[in-house]
Parts: sequence; structure tokens; C-alpha cells
Amino acid sequence: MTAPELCSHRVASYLKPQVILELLVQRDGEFQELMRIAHEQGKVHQEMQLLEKEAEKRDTDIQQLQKQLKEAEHILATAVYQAKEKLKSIEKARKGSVSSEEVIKYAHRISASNAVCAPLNWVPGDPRRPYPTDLEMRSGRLGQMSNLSTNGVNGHLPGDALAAGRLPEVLTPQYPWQSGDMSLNMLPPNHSNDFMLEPPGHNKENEDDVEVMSTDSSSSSSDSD
Amino acid sequence: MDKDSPDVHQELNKLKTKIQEAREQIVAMPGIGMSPEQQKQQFENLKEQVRTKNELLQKYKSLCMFDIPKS
Repeated sequence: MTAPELCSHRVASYLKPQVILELLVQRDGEFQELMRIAHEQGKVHQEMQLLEKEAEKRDTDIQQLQKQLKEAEHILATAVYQAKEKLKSIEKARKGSVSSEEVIKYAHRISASNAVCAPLNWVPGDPRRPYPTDLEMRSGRLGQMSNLSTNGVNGHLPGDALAAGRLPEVLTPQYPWQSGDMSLNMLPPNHSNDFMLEPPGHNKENEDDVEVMSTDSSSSSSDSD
Repeated sequence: MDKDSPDVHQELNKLKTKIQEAREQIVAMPGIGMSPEQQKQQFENLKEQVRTKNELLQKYKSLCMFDIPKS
């Protein structure tokens, strides 16, 4: 009932309190009905709050899963890339394959001059070194070129003696490790007849090979610097 | 009963107080900011949302992205 109606009723029922009371009871009934609806809405509202919390939790789970999937994708992409690089390396190695016998022969040539390992009979005090010594340098071609004026002073040059496989007089046997037959001791005893290798200094071609290998930038003996 | 008697006035004052308290409590009641129909619609939307998210999560958890070869 609207306010104007109420006013008119009030005026008309000024002397009729019973009508007023009836209106009040009617209002109370309507109020009770609205309260019932509000009570139900309150319950629905509580359920909606629970659903909202559940939706938030699902959102968090989805974000967590998304983060983990992203991480897994990154790891897998890295693994795939590395695998592809490895496959490329394998293909490249297969194309440039070298016979194992060639590699072993080459290794023997490099190590024949005792540059990678001391001779088996080497003891402290042995003047032999894995690098050319002062005496050997002087007895080499460069030394000979600069010593032309002193040729014949000593009767023979140390370089000639080494080329012939004999020791110079200064290195005559005085110690257990010295021997007059250096040619046999220049190679490891168990490998001297393998692969038909010749000791360095016996053959000019071998000397050239050794010199080429020692100056070659790709040889392992010169990689130590 | 005399309508101007103090008892009637007292009872009327009590009624007014109770009505005022009822107003305050009604304002604080949750969930009555919208009509029952609107609330029902929103409730259905929320239920659908939660159901969809549950299905999505279940789908991704059980999804196998790699074909594992039978060796």
C-alpha cells in the first residue's frame, strides 16, 4: 500500500484503529515473506562464496601448471637443440673419418723422437731431452752454416756423427745409459719393428718428415706451447 | 484502550526501536544486493566456471603429448 493511500486511510480511519491494526498485520505478513526470501538468498550467497574460492584455487592450479609446462618446454627445446648439434657432429665426423691404422702410424712417427715420452732407459743425468739441445742445434744445418769457418777444428762435426748414428766424442760412454749403438736405442724396443718405421736421422726423407711435423702447426708435439 | 495513554506510547516506542534494529540488520545481511533472479543467474555462472576449469585441469593433467613408442 503506497503512502498516499496510507494517508487517506489514516484520515478515513482516524476513528478506526482496527483498520490500522489490520494494515499493520498485513505489512508484517509481507515483511515475513521478504525475510524468508532474504534468508534463502543468504544461503545462496554462502554457496556462491564457496564457488568463488574454488574458482580462485583452480586459477592458481592452472597458473602453476602453465608455469611447469613452460619450464618443460624450455628444457625439451634445449635437449632437442643439443641432440641436433650432436647429430651434426656425428655426420661431420663420419664424412671426415680417418683410418685407425693411419692415426696409429702418425702417432708412432710423432713419438719416435721421444718428444712425448722419455726413452725406457732414460735416467736422471741423461743429457737427452725431448727438445733439441744446444749441442744438437749447433750440429744442425743452421749451426753448420755459421760454423763454416771452424770446419775441421775438431776433426769431425757432432752433426755428422749424429746423422751417421754414432755419438760424438764428448758423449762417449761414461754412464750406464750411454751406449755406442744409439741407433737401436732411439726407438722403443718393442715398437722398432712395427709398422716398418725408420728411426729419425737415418733417412733424409724421414728428417724432412720429422722437421715438417715438428714445425707443422697441427702436430701435437708443437701444441704444448 | 486510550490511545494517548503512556502504555500505548511506550509500546509504540518499543515497536519503532525494533523496526529500526530490523532495518540495520537487513542492511548488513549478505546476498540481498541483487534480486533473487540475478543472484540465481550469477550462481549458475559461477558453477559453470568452476566446472569448466575442473575439466580443463583434468584434461591437461591426463594429456600425453608424446607418442611413446612401444619398444
